[in-house]
Amino acid sequence: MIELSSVSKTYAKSDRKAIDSLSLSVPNGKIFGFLGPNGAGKTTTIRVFCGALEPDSGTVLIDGIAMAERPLEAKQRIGLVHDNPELFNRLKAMEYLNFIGDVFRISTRERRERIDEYAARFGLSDVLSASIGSFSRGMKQKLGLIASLIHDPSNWVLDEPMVGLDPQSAFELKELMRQRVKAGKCVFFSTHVMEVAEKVCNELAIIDKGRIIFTGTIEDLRRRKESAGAGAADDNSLERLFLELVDSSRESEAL
Amino acid sequence: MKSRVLSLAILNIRSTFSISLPTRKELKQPKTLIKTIAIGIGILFLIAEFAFIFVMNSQAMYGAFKPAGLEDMMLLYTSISAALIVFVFSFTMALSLFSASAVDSGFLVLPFKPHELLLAKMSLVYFTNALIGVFMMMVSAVVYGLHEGPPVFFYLYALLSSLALPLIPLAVSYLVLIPMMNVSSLFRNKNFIIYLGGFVGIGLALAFNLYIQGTMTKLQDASFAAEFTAPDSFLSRLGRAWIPSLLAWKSLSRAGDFIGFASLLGNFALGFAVLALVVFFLGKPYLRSIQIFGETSFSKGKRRKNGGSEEYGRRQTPIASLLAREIRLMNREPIFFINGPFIVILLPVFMGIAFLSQRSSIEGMFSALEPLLAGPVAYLIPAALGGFLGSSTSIACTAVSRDAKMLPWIKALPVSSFEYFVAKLLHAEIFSVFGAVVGCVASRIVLGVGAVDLALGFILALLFSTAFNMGGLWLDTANPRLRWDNPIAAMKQNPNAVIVILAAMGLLAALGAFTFYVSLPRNFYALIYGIVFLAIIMFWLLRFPAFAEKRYARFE
Repeated sequence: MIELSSVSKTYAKSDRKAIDSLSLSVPNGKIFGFLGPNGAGKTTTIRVFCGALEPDSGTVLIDGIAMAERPLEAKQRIGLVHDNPELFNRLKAMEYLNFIGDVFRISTRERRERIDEYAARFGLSDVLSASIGSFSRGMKQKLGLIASLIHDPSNWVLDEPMVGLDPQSAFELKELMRQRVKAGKCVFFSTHVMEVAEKVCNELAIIDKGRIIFTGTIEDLRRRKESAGAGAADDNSLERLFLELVDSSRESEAL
Repeated sequence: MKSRVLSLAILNIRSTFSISLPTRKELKQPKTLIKTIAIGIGILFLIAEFAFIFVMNSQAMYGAFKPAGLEDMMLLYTSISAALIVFVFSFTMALSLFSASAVDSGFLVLPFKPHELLLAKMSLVYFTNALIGVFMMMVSAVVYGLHEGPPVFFYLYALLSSLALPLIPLAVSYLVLIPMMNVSSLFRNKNFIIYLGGFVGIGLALAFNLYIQGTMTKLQDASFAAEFTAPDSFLSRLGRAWIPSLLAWKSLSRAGDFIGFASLLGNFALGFAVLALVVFFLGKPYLRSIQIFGETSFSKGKRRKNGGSEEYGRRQTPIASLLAREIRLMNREPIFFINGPFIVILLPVFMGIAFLSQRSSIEGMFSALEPLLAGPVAYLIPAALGGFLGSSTSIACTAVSRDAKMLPWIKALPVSSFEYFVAKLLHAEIFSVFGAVVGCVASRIVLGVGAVDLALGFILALLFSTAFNMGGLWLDTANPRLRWDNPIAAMKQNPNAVIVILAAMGLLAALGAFTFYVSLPRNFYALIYGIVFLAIIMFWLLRFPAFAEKRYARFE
């Protein structure tokens, strides 16, 4: 479970808050989608609650553990897939996975089981001895996915995980998300692809200009639109709802 | 509207030489102002240093040729030297530009003809080498002109001749490289090219050093002019064979008459003709070389063996795993390796070559040192040598900068700042030990320093480099360079690396002066210096962890 309470962050070389008094609760057993336009603060939020960035104010709890007070324990419970897989091109895939295994203190037996399982699912088994630099973007993304699951985290955090994935791997990823949620774990993922969010997510949050403008289910979002007097429109897709919500949020801010 | 080739050539040159000067507003900040002034002074110093070397060389050459009435031969000598240097630079630069083919491949989808792409790339190499040629030729021309007072045309011809000199070396470089790229997969490997370019660059620096030193020594010999102008001398043969240099010399020595003008025109005509032929015939092969550069496959030995169970290493501690990551990432990135740990190997090789090339004068210097070896010098030389080698690897003082984009990823792992920085320091310390060993071995071989002094020197070297590694790590933790696209920015262009190397040199000079001017019992110097370095280390151990923890949390 991931809980953020009144979290704010301003980058050192910026005068604008990247995230502003953001509060969010991501329960276990749910696939939680995190949506927002470019530059809305999605990656900053993820980096803050994963411990990569220190918030200016507010608290972050991972399974009830405060990130600020017990960062190592909190991080141990997170498996993060970064938005940019362009890392460690000079390492071989297996060296990278072993490094992750060491850092998360995973025994050889466990890491072998998990690496074999996930590498087979994502079709990377044959190339684990190769240098990461020779991988395509999609292959790097799959490697990042495998690495994030080596320690079987209770909170799986994915930042734009579908980018570069082939249909088979995208399907495997969605299956994995559902399996983990069934096992009572938390899956948090940010995306721009509304169709995926609509099909996969149990709950979602929408962020714009560093502030959460909606949290709840897609049905909640539809009801909210109807209660705002828009009526039941023909196009009630998440994409349409998202665009309208962001527009109305910006209009009200401008006023 | 500019032609496509010209537009692309300008884009190539701008993107390579783009210098972002600070705005007036930015210059009002003291830090930016000081940094800009320091960089400006550094650039001026560099130009002045090279100008001084060439002026002294030209002056000595004039002095050697004048008594024999052959003073214009210095112009032939310069034009041959310039052509050689420009050729090596052209070849190295053209080679290294292939490693940037990923960028060039973006142009493949634009409406460029193959020869246009080649010509635009050649323009970049030409631009760089024309600057080198102009610098070398004009310095020599001005020295000659001050003595001989030639017609004004002479200076114009010198400038134009130096612009003609890089044309054929440029064409020949691509004539060799394009088929090589198409035929050999080895040359299509970016790492291989970076290593090769690095070693050629190092060799070039070494050759330049030996050339200047060798020339200056030879010029003092009265028989040099006769030797140089002898028909069978190497330079005479080269001068006759390399027509552009011969034509450049003719155009200068006969500036003002028809022969000089014809030679100048001939030089350009020859250069452009060769260049045009290469561009015309090698346009398509060049295009193909860009298309296939860096192609990778998993076919040869990269596929995993059945099961690959040996690959699941035994579980290591996070520090050991972080250290392994450090070492692998540094030593597998050619730019990091060549400008970092390789210095421990490179510097002794440099010194060895300098020793062999100037054995007689250096041996004389060593024999003068012999009486001093009875004193503290016996352990201070291995200490200084080993300490400097161990502290100049730039591992610690670029430790955080090298991670840059990886920092958010590392920080999201359950790794403490202590583990992170300990791994960084250990990495630097491994090479410090190596540097101290090299320093001691070299002192033993060259000076015959005894075992006890070597042991003392080894300890001092290790303390010295440890103190500098700690200081460097502190510096890079406080002020890391985290925004870069090219790894060279994290290493070679990192001010922290420059500060540490200069500080190490400065401290060694200060300690040398102290040793020389302050008379103490033999081993007291070891005691004093050891205490100073230990105090620095203790201070770091007491204060750095808390500082690093705070700073680590704030890295963005």
